[in-house]
Amino acid sequence: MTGYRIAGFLRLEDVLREITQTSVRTVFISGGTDFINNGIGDKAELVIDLAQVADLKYIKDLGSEIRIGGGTTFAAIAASPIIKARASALAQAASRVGSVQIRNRATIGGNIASASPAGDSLPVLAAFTAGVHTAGSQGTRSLTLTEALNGLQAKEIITEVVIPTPGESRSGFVKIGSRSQVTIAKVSLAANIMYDRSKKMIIVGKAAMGALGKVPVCPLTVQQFFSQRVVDEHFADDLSQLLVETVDEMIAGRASRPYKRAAVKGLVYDLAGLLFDACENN
Amino acid sequence: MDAKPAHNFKYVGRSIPIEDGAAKASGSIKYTGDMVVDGILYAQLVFSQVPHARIKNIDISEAMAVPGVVKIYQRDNSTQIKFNSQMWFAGQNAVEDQELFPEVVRYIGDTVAAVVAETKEAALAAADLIKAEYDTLPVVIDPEEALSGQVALHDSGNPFFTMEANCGDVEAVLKTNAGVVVEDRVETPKIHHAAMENHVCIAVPDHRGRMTVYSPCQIVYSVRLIVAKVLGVPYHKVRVIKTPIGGSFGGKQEVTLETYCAYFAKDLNRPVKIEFDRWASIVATRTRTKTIGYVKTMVSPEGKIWARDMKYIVDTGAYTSNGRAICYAMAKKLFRLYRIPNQHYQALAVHTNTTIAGAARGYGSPQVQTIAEINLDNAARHLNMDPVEFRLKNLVHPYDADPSGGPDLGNARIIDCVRKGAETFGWNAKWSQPKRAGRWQTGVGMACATHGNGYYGAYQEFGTMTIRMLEDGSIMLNAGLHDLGNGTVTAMKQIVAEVLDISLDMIEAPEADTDVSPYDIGCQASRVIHVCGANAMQAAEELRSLFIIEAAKILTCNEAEIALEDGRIWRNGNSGNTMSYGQMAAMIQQKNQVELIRTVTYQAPANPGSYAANFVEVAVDTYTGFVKVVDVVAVHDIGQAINTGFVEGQIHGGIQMGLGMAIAEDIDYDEKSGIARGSRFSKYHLVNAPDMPPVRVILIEKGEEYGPYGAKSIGEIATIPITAATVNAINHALNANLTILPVTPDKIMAMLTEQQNK
Repeated sequence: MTGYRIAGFLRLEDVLREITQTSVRTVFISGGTDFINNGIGDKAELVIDLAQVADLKYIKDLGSEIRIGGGTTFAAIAASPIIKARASALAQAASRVGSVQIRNRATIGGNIASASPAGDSLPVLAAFTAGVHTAGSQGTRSLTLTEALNGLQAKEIITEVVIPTPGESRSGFVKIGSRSQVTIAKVSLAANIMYDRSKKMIIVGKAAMGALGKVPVCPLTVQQFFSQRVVDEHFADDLSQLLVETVDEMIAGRASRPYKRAAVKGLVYDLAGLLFDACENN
Repeated sequence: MDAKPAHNFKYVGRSIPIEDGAAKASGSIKYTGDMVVDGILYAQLVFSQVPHARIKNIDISEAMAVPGVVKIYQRDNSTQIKFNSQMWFAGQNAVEDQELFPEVVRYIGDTVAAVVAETKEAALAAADLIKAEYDTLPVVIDPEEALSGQVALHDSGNPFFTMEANCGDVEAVLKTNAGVVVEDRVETPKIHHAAMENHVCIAVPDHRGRMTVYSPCQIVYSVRLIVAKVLGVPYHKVRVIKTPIGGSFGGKQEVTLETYCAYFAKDLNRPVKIEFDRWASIVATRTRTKTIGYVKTMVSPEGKIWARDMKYIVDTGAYTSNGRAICYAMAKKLFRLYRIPNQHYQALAVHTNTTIAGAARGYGSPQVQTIAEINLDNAARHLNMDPVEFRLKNLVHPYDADPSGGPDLGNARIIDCVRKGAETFGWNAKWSQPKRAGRWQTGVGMACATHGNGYYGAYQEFGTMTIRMLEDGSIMLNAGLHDLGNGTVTAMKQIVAEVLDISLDMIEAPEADTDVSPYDIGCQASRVIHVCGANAMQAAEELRSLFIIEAAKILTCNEAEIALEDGRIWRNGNSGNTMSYGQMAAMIQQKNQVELIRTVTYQAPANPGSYAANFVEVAVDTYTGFVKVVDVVAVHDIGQAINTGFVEGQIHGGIQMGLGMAIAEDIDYDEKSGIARGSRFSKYHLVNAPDMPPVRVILIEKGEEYGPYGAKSIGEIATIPITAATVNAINHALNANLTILPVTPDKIMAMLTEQQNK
């Protein structure tokens, strides 16, 4: 039978005190976008609402890294001058999560906790090698994105996402869904690169593909490809080829493979447009 | 209110806002799901999880232990009366092959059992605990495979129904080998209506042994018929009230939940509510038929259509429902759009282990005309002829006869539609634009359509309305109206207001309630404006005459001397001494002892065609297969708009639905498991607002003899031409012949990949 208590807090320390003290089956709700659809509350005795916890909502630029509170909404991330300037891929991904209404509620912490293979922020976080900080009844932890996606402990909250920004980089996020907006990614792609504009050369970079598996895939071949790579007329086709191989490897035998491998080229051209053309025209 | 329209009407033609719009937008309207009834119980149906099986055993022991469970129904403890959920009139010849709880389940979503409980949660929890054991039976999902008859779902075999319609002699003409013959196989998908409101119903028994059914339905008299049958009671023991509806599009035309709800309520003598979730609304109500068409068209080198041979395989899913009626309805449309001297139509209706098909906006018309219009574009292509020019050589003219023997076409203005649309769209320039290399390929397409205006020529087509002027001058129109959100009630008021020259605020037109509404066959067959509207007009005219007769007695003058305007009445030449309608009505009561009331039965004398042409421009991303619909021009021959805003709204909505059929929507059953892949909105994709193209609407308003103020239907035809026009545009863009709908990105990419590999 359904039925649970719901508790809301304004401060993280109060949440943490509650989860340390309670012994009942507890789940968290933040934006609620997955919670409501997936019936997550069905088996819970206590639901803790994180949506009003003020100290989970922030975006801080610390120079060599950006810190984002787990309760920060995608609307806030998409609109943030910090994110737009220093991790534009994340702003792009944030602006393509669900609909306006969903973005006003959905949070980056929730996107990680839900761990949907199609989660829009996830390939961006992978491309930036972001870290995830958590807090729970067992104390705090620092996790890689993959560790966080593979399962949090009971009563563990994502408190912060850390995006390393060691130097000036360019980044982009693109996805293909069944529609142009309000659409679940069939396949998505994010990249973060150091770029020498005068030489038209990528110094170093990392790309991640979403919706191919439980966690975003960061092909090593692409990292090697990005190393000291001049962006010439073959760039997009060469990168497409590498990503097609990744698709073939990741979802061999799946019914969705023929489409995804064919559509990769579109993703790469869109990404190249974001990373280069738009900047060069400035 | 907008500017006064061209025809010098006072109320007709104006874009008066829909009367319940504010209540819907603000949430103050009470839908059936919002309704609260004392002592109500909740029923949860238990759906079959297998596509075809004989039920061996149902274990309800765990479910019965759930606190709050009142009773669990299954075949053994329920009625086994057979019915057909689409019957809408007594004596209708329809195959009755449905039961509340069948012995053999025939699709995933068929009903195995039902839990009635004190709370919704208890009903749901108990339903999850019911375990059915099955002896599985062979499954057929593919309609063409069903044709072999190896898997029959009912005694009627597979195909369970075939029919033909003819004009001229197709076989003889095809034998001459004189012209160019163009053949196509086109497939249209099973589609969910996607009304925002899921299916829902409440049944309330009373101390007199009557059952009141609250249902957001399309035909109260159909609900009464089938509920009475299942309950085994006379019709007067059942009252059906049409509640505010959150969309239907044919999805709530058939009687689905009402039978269960009323049966449980009668048995338990308590009110019962059933509310479906989206999964159940998609999988366990009704769908558009999947239709596979083989079309062979012979054209002369000059572009005249000499002959057309068509075979349609119509998949009605697990039960017969409207499977026969829809084949007739499909046939009718195909003889009324082009002057084709020799034509042969064959329909084969099959059962498959999929959701029951039923009414869906257009009632088969979108399926068959989409198939035919894709083939016509290919014919034009074979002739190397502009498809607009090709169609203009062949389209029907006003007042043509129907060569298959149906009612005359009336003032059929399709040629006007095509000419006007082509000009507005800039067809000539866009069509002949040379192809450029590159990622995005653009293309243009167009298609024509026709649809009916009621049942005249097929079934009895009449209705009755009672109109009264109350003693304060306000008007009550009692009729079996079903407003599906499209503005029926407001439109009827506009017609009555025009006749009586009275403000809309002074008119009330309640929706259907079998206790108080005279008989009407409901909102179906695009009949409401043309038939109910004419009924309302005639009723208002008779009331006006009566009012004048009685007023002349009061004013001691000739009837010809009576003047009516803006709710006031006077004797000509004495306009300084006017009276409100109310003052006069009160005096008529006092002095003449007469009630101003008229009951009018209207029998439709005609069934003209409504016509439309859509023009579409698409841009196709050849790297991802994404189709962006860039521009739409929709031209509709509607006789006369009663409310221009409503007509435009219907067209915009119709285009959204038809685009879905063209490029996105498909319930898509797995051939082996019978599981619907598109059973949730995360998997069943509608075209949403950001992807909607701008739609330019042009109305051809040249009147129709028997329509009220010349009006013809719009609700169904609005969704027909866009599908083929869009597919034709995609094929134009890609120089392809994609004919399996919806033309999704993966189908486009598969085609492009294959082209590349050649």
